Amino acid sequence: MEVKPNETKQISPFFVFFLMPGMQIGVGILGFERIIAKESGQDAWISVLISGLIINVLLWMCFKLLGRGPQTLDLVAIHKDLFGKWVGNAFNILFILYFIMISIILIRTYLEVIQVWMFPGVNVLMLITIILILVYRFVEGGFRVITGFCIIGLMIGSPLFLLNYFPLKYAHFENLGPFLDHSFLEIMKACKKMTLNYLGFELILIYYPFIKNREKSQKWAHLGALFTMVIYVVSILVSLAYYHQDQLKDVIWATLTLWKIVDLPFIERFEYIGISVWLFMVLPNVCLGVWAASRTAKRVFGYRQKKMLVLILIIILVSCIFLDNRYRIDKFNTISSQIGFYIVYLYLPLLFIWQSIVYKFRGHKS
Amino acid sequence: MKIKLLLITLASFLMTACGVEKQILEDILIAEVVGYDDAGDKKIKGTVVVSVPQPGEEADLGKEVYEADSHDIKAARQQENAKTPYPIVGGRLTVTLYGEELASKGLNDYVDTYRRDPMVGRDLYLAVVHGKAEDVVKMEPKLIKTPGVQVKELIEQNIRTNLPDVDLHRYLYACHGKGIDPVLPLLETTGDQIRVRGIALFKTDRYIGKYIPYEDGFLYKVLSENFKLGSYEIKWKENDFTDINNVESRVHYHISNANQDPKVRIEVKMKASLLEVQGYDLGKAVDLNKIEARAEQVIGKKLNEMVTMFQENHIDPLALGDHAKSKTRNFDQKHWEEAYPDIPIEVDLDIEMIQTGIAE
Repeated sequence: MEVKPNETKQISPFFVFFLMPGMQIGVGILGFERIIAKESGQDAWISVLISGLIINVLLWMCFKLLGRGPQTLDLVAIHKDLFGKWVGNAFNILFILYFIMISIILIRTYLEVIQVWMFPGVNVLMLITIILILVYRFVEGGFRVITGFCIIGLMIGSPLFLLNYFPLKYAHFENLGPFLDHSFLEIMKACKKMTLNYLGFELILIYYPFIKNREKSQKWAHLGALFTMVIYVVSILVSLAYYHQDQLKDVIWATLTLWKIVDLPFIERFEYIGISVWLFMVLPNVCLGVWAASRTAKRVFGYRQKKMLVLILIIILVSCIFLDNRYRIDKFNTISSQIGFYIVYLYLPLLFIWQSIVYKFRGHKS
Repeated sequence: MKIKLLLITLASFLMTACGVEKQILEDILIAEVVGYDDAGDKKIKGTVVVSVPQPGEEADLGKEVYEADSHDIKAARQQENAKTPYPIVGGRLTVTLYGEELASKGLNDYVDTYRRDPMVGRDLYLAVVHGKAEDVVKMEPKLIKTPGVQVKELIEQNIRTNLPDVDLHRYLYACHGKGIDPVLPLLETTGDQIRVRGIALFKTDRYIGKYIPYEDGFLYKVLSENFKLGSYEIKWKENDFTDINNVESRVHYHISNANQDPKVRIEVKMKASLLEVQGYDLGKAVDLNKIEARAEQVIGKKLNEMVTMFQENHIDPLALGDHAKSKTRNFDQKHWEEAYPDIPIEVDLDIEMIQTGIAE
């Protein structure tokens, strides 16, 4: 059951820091504010903070799941170990579908942004094909290449967070008061809605064997997840101060609309540059998602990863064609958010508990 | 492998363009200032100034005014296109003007397109025109060579002293937010010039027909935001005036008991300088105190009148409702709105003279 990729394919534990936000920060950040603020108003940032901390607890669970067996495992191995071949594989296939779904959301939502903000007449099929060809090249290069791309993407994308400075001139920080004026239930509801934006950390279950000195990686993973949380909290704080709560309810892409206020002498509409640069944040996401799906598929079905990769890309292409208007995309987003929520908040803890029970009976020593 | 890579690259090149509509600067007309008026029969009349690029080096930008009648703004744009050689685009729009009559019917339907359209920036200025918006729009290109600059700079210049800082984002903020009512600059034409008449007062999106005169715009600014600059003239006696220069003014709202029996105290602290005075010796401390006391009395009275006027008209341009909400747990919006006209609002003004110029 031991999973041992060649050492030339492994990465240093430090890079897990980049892989975490690399997968977690995607298209969600462009417009998550409206959905969260609808539930818990000015206390939305508390929800973002809480769910960020819960994610860290779940991340700790993932590391426990992976590390307490006698050998190095990944999700596929854990499933086989705990449920046997057939049931285990059924779960694995569910996870493959889940990773594909995440990739579809990322690509389709990003293209929707391009359609609405920049080019309404753009040929979606062509654009998706170009993106998928890029994804193919990166994923074909292997996990190391994708890691590198995550780092580059984060570096190119991170200057965009400085844009939060511009709305401060318009900020009404008293909008954040009164503190904790929403019930516990409302804040928790907002936490649930926030899940979709934090998804991606569970990929550690797939790429764990690819990390050298694995024990050291946990620290970096937690730091990475905290980094994501900080970025989300800052974004929502700025948005809450910039928009009136009643106004925020109608703004679909709050972060993007906020970039409109950026006023530089040499450029009138900064959000066009922002959207273009954002591709460097979205593409690593898609690559990681597709890589995880193809890797799991390879481990389950035993075919070559490249074949699986092509198949998965075709599935993504076809699904993107069917998601052709705002209503369907929104619905798809909501459904996947639900699925993601149950996988992360329900399935992972259950798996964790089940593993504890099984190991106790078997008498493993951790 | 290499051939495969080459094929992929080639294919990518073939797929560029992706069916995107091209917009070349010489082949479009850039809308600079737009005005909308009520044309009766549920129709509006749109008037637009566009810049027309002229060939040749150092050529002035030409400008042209087009008009059209229609039911909504996008259709008006379409109608205007019937007369223009190139399509009109709105990406560089700087000012949108609304006629008095249209504004008093509610602006929501006519601002919505600017809120929705990603082409439009958020630093677009909105303004109401006393009379017809058309007049200002038609006057505009006559005044200055580059189109679109005149009205925009007029508003921008006055935002420093007498107009509240209102652009599209701030208008939407006040219009959509509960407990705030927006204000917009009110323009008019006098002879062959465009002039700021004052600040138009709104109830949600409806112009209520009342406005704060230009001179008192300074007082509104004092009440609503922290700012530097601006001046106000105080009358002592007949033919005896003093001009007070604002160096720095700060405002704080103290709202208590908002859910039961609300009380509001607006605290204004102004640091001012005097540059013109008649009949007083500024070297003596007594006289300076006298001027301070007198200025506090005169301006304080004006501020109180202004606040009372807001209450009488059931409008809240100072966002008191919003401030109350952010300071009160379980804020009762309905109760506040009912109580608002009768809330005791106290304006607490403190003027400190910090300079008297370079002459004794």
